[in-house]
Amino acid sequence: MAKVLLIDADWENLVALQKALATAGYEVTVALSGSFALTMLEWDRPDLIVSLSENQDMDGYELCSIIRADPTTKNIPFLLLTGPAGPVAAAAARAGVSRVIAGKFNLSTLVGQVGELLSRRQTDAAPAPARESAPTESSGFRS
Amino acid sequence: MPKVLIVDDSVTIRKVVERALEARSIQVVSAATGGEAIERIEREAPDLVICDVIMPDQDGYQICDYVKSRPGLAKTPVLLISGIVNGTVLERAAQVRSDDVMRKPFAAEELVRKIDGLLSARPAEAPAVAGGSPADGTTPSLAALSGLVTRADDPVPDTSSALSAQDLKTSLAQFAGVAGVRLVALVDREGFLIESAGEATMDVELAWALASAVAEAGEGIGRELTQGLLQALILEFEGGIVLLHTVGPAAMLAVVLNDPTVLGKVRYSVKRALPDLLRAM
Repeated sequence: MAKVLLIDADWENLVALQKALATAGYEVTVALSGSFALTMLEWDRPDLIVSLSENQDMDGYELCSIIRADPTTKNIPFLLLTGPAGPVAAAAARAGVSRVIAGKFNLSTLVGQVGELLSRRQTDAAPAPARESAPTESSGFRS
Repeated sequence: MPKVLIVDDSVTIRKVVERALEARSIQVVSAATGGEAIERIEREAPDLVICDVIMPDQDGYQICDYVKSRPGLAKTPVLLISGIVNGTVLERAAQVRSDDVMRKPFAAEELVRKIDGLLSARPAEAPAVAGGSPADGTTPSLAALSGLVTRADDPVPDTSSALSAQDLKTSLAQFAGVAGVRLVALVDREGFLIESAGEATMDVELAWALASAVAEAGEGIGRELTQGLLQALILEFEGGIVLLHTVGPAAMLAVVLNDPTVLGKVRYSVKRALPDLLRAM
């Protein structure tokens, strides 16, 4: 079962997105802030990351840049959810975002994009595994 | 500007720490290995060291032990960070005199809170804080509280540095002020209450009951299992946890928690405070 890390500071959004992805058969881990998400990666390596462009402590672009700068996480596909306004393409490309969903979207679009990115990833290099001895409990929430 | 050294083999963790602390005008120096860490410690003389426990060459305990064993560096706070924080980790952290342990993953604000507490609790030249209380009047962290006690590596642990009765009262009151702690009491082996603090009260009967529980566990179960002297007894009730920790052969510290998640940190802090409590007896 593919693992998806979901980052959104809005709890209600997070629950809705998490439910949609879990219903589609993904194991979903969530984080309410960028820093928490980044410090999870060492122990709990997802197959794909979905993040809002605006988060509690860092935006999605910066979050993605940090993930791309780490050799152990740089190949994880990153799906960015942005608001409707503003040119995002250049910033997203600079940060190394794999795909952007801009503006309003329905949950089936999200699930479809996640599925497509994950199937594409199978042909790319797999990211390095997380630490061998994972912690017995995670502070993240899991479906 | 305070200078903090982050030691972690993960680029991501180093970047999270750099970003969070630099936003607070704290200078951050990084090291990816234990070897690099030693070199940075010698060259940069950081005001605080944050160190991952598991690293490829030297582990975080070794780095912490190095800092705490070096003359002139022993008072530099060390915060260990680890994906696993359990009794074994806390025990080892206490052995190497780490000032605090933080679980990964963590949010930036949690890290900043810890670092602020540790930097403000520094002794001597630090711009802090009489009695270990943060200058901003917030509840003292357990790490700051641990800073109240004389460390084992302090050169002159003479009787003049022992806690007075008033200091003991203050020390217990600060323990009781930690979020999740409801009551702290020092009780002698006969069940007489020596000192207590907190929102709940400790009456004579309760003190006697707790002392009896420790005596029975130590003399009965401990002897049967041949596991040596009893160190601590943890009682879990529906409404919270009671930690009973021996303070030498003559007394014990009872800590009543209404938040079970702080148990690990309280145990760690009690171990750190034991030498001073013993001197105060």
